[in-house]
This record gives sequence, C-alpha cells and structure tokens, in this order.
Amino acid sequence: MTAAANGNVMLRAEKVSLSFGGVHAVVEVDIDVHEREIFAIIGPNGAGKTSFFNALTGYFFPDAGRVWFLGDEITRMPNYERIARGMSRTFQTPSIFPELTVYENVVLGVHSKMAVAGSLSGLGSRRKQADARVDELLGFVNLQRWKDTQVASLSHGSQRLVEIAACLSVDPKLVLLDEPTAGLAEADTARVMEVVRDLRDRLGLTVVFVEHNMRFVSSLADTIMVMDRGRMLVRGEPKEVLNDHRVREAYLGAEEETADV
Amino acid sequence: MKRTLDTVGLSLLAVLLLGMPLWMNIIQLNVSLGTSLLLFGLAAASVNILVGYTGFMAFGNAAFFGVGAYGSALFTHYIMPDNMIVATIVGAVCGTLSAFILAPFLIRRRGIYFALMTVAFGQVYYFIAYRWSNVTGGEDGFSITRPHLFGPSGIAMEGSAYYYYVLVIFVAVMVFLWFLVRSPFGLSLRAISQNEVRVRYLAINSDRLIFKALVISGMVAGIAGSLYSMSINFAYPLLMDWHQSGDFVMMTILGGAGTLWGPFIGAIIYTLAANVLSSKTETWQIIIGALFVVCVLFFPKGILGFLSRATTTSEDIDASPSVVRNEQAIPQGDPG
Repeated sequence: MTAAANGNVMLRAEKVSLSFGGVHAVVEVDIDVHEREIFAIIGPNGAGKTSFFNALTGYFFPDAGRVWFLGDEITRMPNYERIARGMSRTFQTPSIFPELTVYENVVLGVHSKMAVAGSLSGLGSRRKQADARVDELLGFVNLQRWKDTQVASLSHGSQRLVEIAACLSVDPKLVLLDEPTAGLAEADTARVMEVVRDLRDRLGLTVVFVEHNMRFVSSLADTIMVMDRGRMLVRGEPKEVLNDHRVREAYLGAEEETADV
Repeated sequence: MKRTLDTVGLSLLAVLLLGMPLWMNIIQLNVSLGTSLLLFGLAAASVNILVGYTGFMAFGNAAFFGVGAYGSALFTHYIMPDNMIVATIVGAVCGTLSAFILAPFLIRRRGIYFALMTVAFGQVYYFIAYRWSNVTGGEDGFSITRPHLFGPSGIAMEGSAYYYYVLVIFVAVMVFLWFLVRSPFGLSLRAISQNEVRVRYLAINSDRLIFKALVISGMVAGIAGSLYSMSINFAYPLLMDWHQSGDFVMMTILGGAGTLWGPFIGAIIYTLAANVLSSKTETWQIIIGALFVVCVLFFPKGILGFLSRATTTSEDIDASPSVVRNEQAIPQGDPG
C-alpha cells in the first residue's frame, strides 16, 4: 500500500493554523499527500479535523502557514479557483441542492467544467456530451435510476452518493471527503467504502478523508494522520498509527471495542 | 396531466391578453390599465430573477424601473422627441446601466445586508431624481408627449396600439426569461438559491453569476419603467421609491416567486385590487396587506405555486417516487 505514497506530492500544507476568536482550532499542522494516496485524518470530536479541511479547501483561509496544490501555492486562493484546479470536496452534512433533481445536481459541475455554467444559451450539440458525462457519473455511484428524482426525497445514504457524484463532476484530481459515512446505516457505509476505494483504484484519484469509523479507516487508508486538540499527534501507516500508545490514549481508548485494529 | 393544464392555461392567457382592449372596453375599463398590468408584471418578473430564482431579497428594483422611466422620458424630452422604439431601447439601456453600476457593491453582500443595500442604493437614485430638479422636474416630475413608433411620420401609439406594442415586448421578455430559466445560467441561479457554498465548490464563481442576474434584472425593470413612463406620459421620483420596490416584491411573492408566470399573476391581483379597492375605501392597503400575510402563511410558493401543486394529480406523483428507501437506492454491495 505504501507504494502509492511514492508518487509526487499533490497537496502540501506547512504549519497551518486556524483560530476562531480565542479557540485554536488548528495549530501548525503539516500534511503531504501523494498522488493516488488514500490519506485519512482521524481524531476525537473537536480535534480540528474539519477546520483543517476547511483551511485546505479555502472554506476559511488559515491564519498562518501555507498550502500548495500541484506545486502552486493556494493558501489564499478563492475556493472556486481551487476546484477549477482539480480539488473537490464533500461536507459532513451532504452539501447538495435539495430541490433540484439528481441529474441537475450533477450536471452543474459538468457545465462548470465545460465553462457554460453562466451561459444563457442552451448547450446545443454539447448537451449530449454533458448528459453522457452525467450518466457516467451516476453509473459510478449507481444512482441512474433516480436521475429525475428530487434529491430531498432520497435517503441520507443516497444523498451522500449524489454529493460524491457532484464532487466528481468537476473532474478532480484530489477529492477531500469529510466524514463520508457519518449518519449512515451499515449497508450504506459499505457502499460508500466501496465507492471511495473505487475513486483511487478505478478513477486514479487521490483521496483525503476525515472519518470516525475505524474499520473504514484501517481497511482503506495508506496513511493515517491523527489530530488532537488542533495539533497533529502522529502520522504513519495504519498499523503503526493505530497501535501507537498516544493515539490510544487520545482517541482510541473510548473506541477500543469497536476498533478493528 | 400537468402539461395539458399548462397548455390550456397558456392558451387562455394568450386569448385574454390578445383580446384585452376589446373586453376591457366591454367591462368599461380603460385599456391603459391592461398596459399597466403587463408592465408591473415585467417589473415583478425582474424582481423574480433575484428573489425567486437566485434567492436574493431585492428591495431596490424600483430604482432600475425608475431609471428606465426617466431614461426614456428625458431622452424623449431633450434629445429625440418622436421615436418610441429608440426611447424604449434607451430606457432598457439606462435600467441595465443603473444595475451595472450598483452590482459591484452588491455582489459580496448576502441575506439581510444585500436587502438593505438594495434599499439604500435605490433611495440614492430616488434622491438624485428628487433633487436634480432642473433636469428631472424634482418632486413634480415632468410630462412628455408619447412618441410615435418610428419618428414623427410613424404610427401614432394611442390606446390599443400602445397596448399591443407593450404586449409584443412583454411576450419577447417572457420568452427570454423562459429561455433564461432553462439555460445553464438559470440552473446555476436556482442552485445558488439553495446552496451557494456547493455552487462555489463546483468551481463556479457565484459572485459573477449574481452580477449577471442583477444586470439582467435591471434591464427587465428598465424596459418596464421605460414603457411605463410612455404609458402615463410622465416620469416622477416616486416611481423609484422603496415603497414601489416593496410593491414589486409583494407582487412577486403573492403570485409565486420562482415561477415564470407567478409575478405576472401577482401583479394582476395587486394592481386590480389596488384599482378596485382604492375607489371603495381609503384603507385598501390593509386588505392587500392581509392578503399578503395569508399568502405567505398558507401558500408560501404563491398563488401559482399553490395552484400548480393543487393540479398535480396523484398520477403525476406516482410517476416520480417521492420517497426512496436505502434498500432500493443503494445496492447491497460487497463491503470489500
């Protein structure tokens, strides 16, 4: 699995810090994510995982530190420009368009990629191309049947898959998933796990994800980074990280029974 | 079923609008009221682009409407007294420009701040018209003579002729809006209204689209204002006042924000109620206010939204599954 980590560095962050008022959510955290790597960030609630994610994806700009993506510095780049460069993300609660159909949710990113999201004229001959791309993406998450269904009426698990399809619609190279299995039933978790694995194995993407589900993390990740109280606690391959006594103290103590270590 | 109803509704509307001078005459109403219905419908449609589709509360569209009205009136008064087509275009351009100037200040504001900024900027236009009295006639406004269609030797545009001129432009704008709503741009606007963060995380610069929506809204309001000043042969500052903006928003929400025809229906109800009720009682605005409250409480999607839901048959509902369960949506794959 570590072979994957030998590729070029795709995402790099150096001493990233982010605070809200007096709360130091992220303190000097570094990260190096290599091409085709599956990189997991874990940690107890309030450890700063999502804040760090937000700093990487431009939801908030870090107070200090720098971020590079594909060799270019993006520390203070607007979020939509980062996405245009090949980054994409999901959110803890699925960030979708509830009143639009599954098709519309996914075609928006395709329009964006085709540079017609602001176009007043129809797509003309390119409509077929856009539709084919949507079909392909819905096929990937197995939602073709619900193409014309309003997303609000889908189950939570399906909404997550719609979000993943939307996330892929902009042809990213790097996908950041924030707790992809949060609130999912067992069967849905399995399906999402499969999709995440496919992101790398079938689509050749690089994946960074925040997760609480230890089975998910240990079976998928090439590298795990553990955060606690805004700082990076330890980083490495799943086995060594999950057996690290500091990690057990900080995080796994409470979850030892469920942890698949 | 719904499709049939839409076709029937549209055909009925077409007949009503085409025959309006005729039947208005029969029920002893002036055709200028019909013209006003169309124009307030357009003004409400301009609000609808922002309020209904993009989800931005715009309380300053009367400013664009008024700038369009003054644009045409001033042009007719000072520059080219007798050409309606050119005056209309000038009004549209003025409305567009007035929005274009404000848009950079508005596009970074959201929610209540956006709404307040539109009110504030709208009032700036109002006070310019109010204070710059040697050009605009100040509080009294100024009157114009309605121009001929293509210059002095063109067709005189009295009564029904002017109504049909307005109807043609009304239809053209509605067709344009129909295309807009169905275009990728229209979809992006609807997406912004639901989840702007996701729009940005699809590499779409939402600020730019909001800018475009504002400018198009200004254009439509400008066209409406321009035709309105030529309809009443008059331009006055109160056309730009925030009360007027509020009326446009009310029409939009009453009829159904986010639907193509809702604002027009709202404009009809509002204008007719104002016309009929104001001749009966001084407190007519209380009745309109009550109607508005009832509408917001019980028909949040407006009258058209309510009607379209009421006419959606169970057959239509069955055709699209409204609840999808986990087991169906997610095949039980091997966890791997």
